[in-house]
Amino acid sequence: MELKGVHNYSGAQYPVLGDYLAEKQRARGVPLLTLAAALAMLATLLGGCTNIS
Amino acid sequence: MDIILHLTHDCQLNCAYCYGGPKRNSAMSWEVARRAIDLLFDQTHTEAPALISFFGGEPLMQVPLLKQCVAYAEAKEEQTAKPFRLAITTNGLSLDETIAEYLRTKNIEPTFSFDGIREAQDACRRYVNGQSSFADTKEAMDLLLRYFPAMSICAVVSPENVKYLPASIDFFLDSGVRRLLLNPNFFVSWSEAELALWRQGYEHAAERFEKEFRNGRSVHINFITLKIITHLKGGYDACDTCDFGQKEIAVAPSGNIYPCQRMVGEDTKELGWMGDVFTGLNVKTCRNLADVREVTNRECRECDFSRRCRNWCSCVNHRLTGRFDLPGSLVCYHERMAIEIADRTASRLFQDKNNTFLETFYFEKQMTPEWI
Repeated sequence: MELKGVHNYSGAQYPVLGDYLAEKQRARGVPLLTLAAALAMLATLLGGCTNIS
Repeated sequence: MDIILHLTHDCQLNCAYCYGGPKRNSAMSWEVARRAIDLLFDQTHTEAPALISFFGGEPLMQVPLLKQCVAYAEAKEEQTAKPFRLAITTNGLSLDETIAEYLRTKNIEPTFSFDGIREAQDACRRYVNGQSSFADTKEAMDLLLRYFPAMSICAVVSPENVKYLPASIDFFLDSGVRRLLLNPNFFVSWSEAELALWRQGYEHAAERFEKEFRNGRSVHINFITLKIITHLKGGYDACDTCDFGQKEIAVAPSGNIYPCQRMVGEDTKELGWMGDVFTGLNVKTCRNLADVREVTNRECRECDFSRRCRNWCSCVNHRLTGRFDLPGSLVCYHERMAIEIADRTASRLFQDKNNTFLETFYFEKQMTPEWI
């Protein structure tokens, strides 16, 4: 096994959050949850460590 | 700044993969604990609550010390107006209703270490005397889930137990667990057959994840959820990582300070030692650690997965390659596998306009997911 970079990956067939919220806001014409607020909520999950214990 | 307090090196179990070093009865003294908490409050300059995590060994073997720490932190908060949060990683074997009630009262968020079905647990997590810990651990998990329904379960995936991974995932989700952390043991050799079993286990996790969402139940399985989030937000940011000693430190029972709980080990001060609670953080050492952690190798820089990859975990990198800035091939294998499986699962749920998925990851109801 070796360290080998992946190139030309396009397996994620779902939008990034910023695009999704912008599209929804355009369609609905009302302000939605801001991207910053949404990202802050998601970021609470990204911290932490893969400890084994 | 967050802090991890290793309240003791002692533990009832003798886990095959434990990086805590030999079990020994060496609890942290109150003097060390007090100075560590003082250091945390002195180093905290943000409005975000600092995190105090209790770790070990098994931290609940030192309940009086733990309670002393909590009371002291509460007093420091009162004095300084700096808020804090509490967490604990436990095997649950010292738990009873009184301790569980205390943890809930003080809002000490538990992560419960349990590898799964009896065969998985017995493969690596036996008592020191060699007996099975499964029944006692299951009983403790059921007890603690009553107090913390959204509690995280940390299951280590290792070559010895990987063949039981699908059954263990079912066991946890069928027991009512909603936050499942499948944490790989990167520090042993994996055969090709074991790697294939690992992939099968992850594929099963994805199937269960998808099924739960289709049944309207939002669950968190770390490798899936985190890789979905890294896509949604465009990768890890500096603020998402532990920053190797810059935002989080681990304090050994002796008072020595390390950038990561994995480096406390036998507390030999050989690698990563950053100072101690008596003399404070060694500024030069801290600066040196900060300088070496950035991943600069060509393979990673040119990889499409780079921003979504945990190649920034300097501690694991060093253990695997001898370099803080170079991930090991097993990490690379894992990250590629996790991203591909997570994306496939998320793509299906999104294309099917699954409400639970949209509410959880795109905030369709502008609500916090249940498992946060």
